[in-house]
Amino acid sequence: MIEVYGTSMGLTLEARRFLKQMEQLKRLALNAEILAVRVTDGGEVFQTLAREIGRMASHASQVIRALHGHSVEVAAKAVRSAALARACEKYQLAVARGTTGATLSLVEARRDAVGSALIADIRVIAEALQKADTRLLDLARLNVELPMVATLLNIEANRDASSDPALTSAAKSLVALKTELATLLERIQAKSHQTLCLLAGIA
Amino acid sequence: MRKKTLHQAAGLTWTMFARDPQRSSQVIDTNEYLIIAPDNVVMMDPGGTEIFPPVVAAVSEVIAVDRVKTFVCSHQDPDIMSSLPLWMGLCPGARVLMPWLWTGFVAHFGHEYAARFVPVPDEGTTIPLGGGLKDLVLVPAHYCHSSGNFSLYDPNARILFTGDIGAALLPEGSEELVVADFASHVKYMEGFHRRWMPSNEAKNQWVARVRKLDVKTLCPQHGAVMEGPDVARFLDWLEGLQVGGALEAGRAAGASRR
Ligand SMILES: [Fe+2]
Ligand SMILES: [Fe+2]
Repeated sequence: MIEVYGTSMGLTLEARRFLKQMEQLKRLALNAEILAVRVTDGGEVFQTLAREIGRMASHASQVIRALHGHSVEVAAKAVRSAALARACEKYQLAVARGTTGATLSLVEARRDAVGSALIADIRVIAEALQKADTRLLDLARLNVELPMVATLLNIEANRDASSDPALTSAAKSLVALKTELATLLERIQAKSHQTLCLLAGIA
Repeated sequence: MRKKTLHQAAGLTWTMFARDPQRSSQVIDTNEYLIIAPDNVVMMDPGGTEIFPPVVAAVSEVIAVDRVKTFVCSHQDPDIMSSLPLWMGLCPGARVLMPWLWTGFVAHFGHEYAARFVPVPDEGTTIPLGGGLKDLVLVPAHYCHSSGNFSLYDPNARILFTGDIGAALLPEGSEELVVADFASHVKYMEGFHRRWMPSNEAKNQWVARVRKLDVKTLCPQHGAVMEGPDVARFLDWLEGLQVGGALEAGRAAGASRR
């Protein structure tokens, strides 16, 4: 459970980093879109592509924000579950060590109550991770689409030599950022997958 | 876990629990004490989480644990009270007396039970036992180990629970629950008091305070009980001891630098 907490917290950190990058991506896309208006030839294509990047960035932010929420929930429950599991273990040990008389049923009742709370928590964690898993599919798709559109945009910006240098540099920044984003996305997916595997091991 | 009746008369019983044979060597050995009186059942320093299972099992042989009405924590150390949340889960009606200094700290072990903490003021308090018995008295022992620290005196049984004062680190496997030879017991107490006791002034105040009480038995939280003439021997020995050992080391280091 402590490991689940660790990977979940790791995920929230990565998600926060990703959201920051997404803000930058959206800014760059908007900037490119505005610049594209000035271009007479092929400006519409560029504008559409830039708008598309902006849209994808917003969508990715939404997905990551939801993932972040799930991770925080998982982390909190994981910490509580660890404490509950420990208490449950101690009550069980008290039974094993020969608790007798009226105390025995007290200890057993307490052990079962704590055990039920523990099971409920693990169920919540499993559900949160399930939701996170669907979000991950969304992310995987974005991870393919985003670099594709960014590359197209770059090609568009460099199509003719007379291109606005501001536009070319905007496209370049977008391409540079896309590589960083892909790495981050992969890290997020790995962390999320790790959490799922850990939980599968516990359940 | 071993169990020893220290006193039994007029509806009042003192039981000592000690030396769990299955205790991990990583965990310091502790003594827990249970006082059963007509209107109150008091558990003194319920102990650490690690020792909780054998203590519950041993106490269950004496009394149903939900009859414990009062837990007393002499101070805030984990070996004293990290098991509290587990006990609170078994004893829904119990309250916990502890130095006011530590309530906010101890709540870190489980804040959901903090409403049942009773902060004891520096001057101490009394705990009624019923059945015409005299009240237990929490005697100030501040800075004699922890900065918020109490001993517990029972004027009926003439027993003084001293917490970490009088504590001894006995060799592994030692079966002695009551000190047989004070002179040879001193070596197990000396290091503990020199290092875990910070203030000579506080220590001497405590010795003077205890000398005014009629004490027949001293019950520490680690080591062995001291009885009869060993009570006075212990007080004399403690009075003559220089404590605050780490300060001495610091002073020596300062002198050698000069
Ligand atoms: Fe202590
Ligand atoms: Fe202690």
